[in-house]
Amino acid sequence: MSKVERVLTGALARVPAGASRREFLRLAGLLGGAVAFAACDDGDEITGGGETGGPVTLNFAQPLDVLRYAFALEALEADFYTRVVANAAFATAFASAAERQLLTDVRDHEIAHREFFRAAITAAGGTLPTLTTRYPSTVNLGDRGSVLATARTFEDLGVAAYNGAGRYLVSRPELLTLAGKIVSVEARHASAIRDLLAPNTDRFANVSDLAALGANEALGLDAKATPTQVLAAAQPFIAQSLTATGV
Amino acid sequence: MQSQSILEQIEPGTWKRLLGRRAMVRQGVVAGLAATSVPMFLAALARDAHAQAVPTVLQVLNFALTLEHLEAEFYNIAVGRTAIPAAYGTAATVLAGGGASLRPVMEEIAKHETAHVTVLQQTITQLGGTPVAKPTFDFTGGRGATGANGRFGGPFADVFTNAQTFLALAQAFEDTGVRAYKGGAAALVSNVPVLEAALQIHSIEARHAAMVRRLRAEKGWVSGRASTLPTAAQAVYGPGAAAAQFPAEDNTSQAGVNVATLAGASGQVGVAAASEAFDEPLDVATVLQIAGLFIRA
Repeated sequence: MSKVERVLTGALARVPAGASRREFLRLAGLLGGAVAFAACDDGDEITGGGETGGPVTLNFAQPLDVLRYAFALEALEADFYTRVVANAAFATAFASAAERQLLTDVRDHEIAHREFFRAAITAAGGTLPTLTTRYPSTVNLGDRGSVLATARTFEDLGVAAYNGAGRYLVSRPELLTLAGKIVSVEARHASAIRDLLAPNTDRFANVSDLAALGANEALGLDAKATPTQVLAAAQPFIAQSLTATGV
Repeated sequence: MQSQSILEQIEPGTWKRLLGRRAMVRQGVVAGLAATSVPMFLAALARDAHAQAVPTVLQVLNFALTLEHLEAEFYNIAVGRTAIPAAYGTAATVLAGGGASLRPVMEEIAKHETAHVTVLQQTITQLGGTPVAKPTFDFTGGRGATGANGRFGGPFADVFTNAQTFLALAQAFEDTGVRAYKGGAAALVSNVPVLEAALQIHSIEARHAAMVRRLRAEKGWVSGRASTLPTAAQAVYGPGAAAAQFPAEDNTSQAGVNVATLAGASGQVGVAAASEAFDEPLDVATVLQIAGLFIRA
């Protein structure tokens, strides 16, 4: 593992704190169909070989793997903001208390998302992918401009990922609604981060720079990217090879 | 490009596949929808919603179109693209009074909402439906009632002259729009291109909502259900008609998991972050109750 690669999470498969038996059963019911489907399909592999982990293959024909996809993206975001807020230069790079609060809020939201998906996948009997984050040398976690540019990339990518994943959840409307509850929060993050980069301009919502991710500014339509596109964009930040199938 | 359908622009190649669905979709259109009288349409939609009927794709799209008409007219009056109706008895000076920073933000939102109206109208037409006509709006919140002076007399009389009033209503409309699209998404699963377009509009509305909130010195995300909005707009963050399915924005339980007690950065996630991290959907009937304040009865 290279110096910039870091273990994203420790015991990914541990049972979430506070998950009661009742919650477990409700989740198991929610995801029951997916579990049964996954259990009889040899293609459902989230391989993990300890800390380094093996390649991660997500089969989008299975709703449980769509949740794993979301978990992977949320885990990456949570790891990033956790490092930003914990960075020794945080208070000096972000001199504004309001900006520090904003980034701390975003960190806490991404952690909430990650832990929710961890609980949901675990309760459904699924396994979690072992992921190791790495940050390209161009990312400086102690520099305001670098942090905000990276944050914008992650938030816009998150919006594109959820919008593009909706088609894989049409058989599970309750999961579609659940994804909808999260994607709008990611879009709120994206808006705020983009406004920090270009205050009080049209940039908070002008998605002309996201055309490659399926956005159409003239029609007022946000980004919508395929899992293959999203995983390719996330790959520089995750050590394990990421592949989408069933798309 | 001009003659090309919006759906073709959204997703080239899908229109032919959609045509096969057209007859099926038509069967789902309620007879009353063809009349396109706005209050009739809204009343019928609200009735269906109360009856727990699953709305058809066209009903959801016309519901969304109604909200987009509302937002588009609201912002277009503010930026001066639409002449302010005489019933307001004033010029629209709200952007002049709100500092130079307001204009680029509001121009961008106006542009998007106008585009959303067009996208929805064309999509509805292509699916064999009839786009609902633009209602008569009363952004003073008085349901279109005019006094002896011929002017709207609702509680937000200074909506187009006072930036704080304007922004408060903008926040209410945007956050309601986010909840409305979220509530409607599950009814669109039979038509993937339409579902995806709705999702793409949904997150654009969320970008708008965060910006407007931050202009009002609020957090960009919805924290709990308390707000700084006027009393008449408090329902924006409240529960829907069926609270189990459409909880208030202070909800911290997702799919049976208490998110607040999951592991956080230090200790637990907590109630505030658990609420902020998940936006809640809202049902058609409740959204129409909120929007109804601004639509001539």
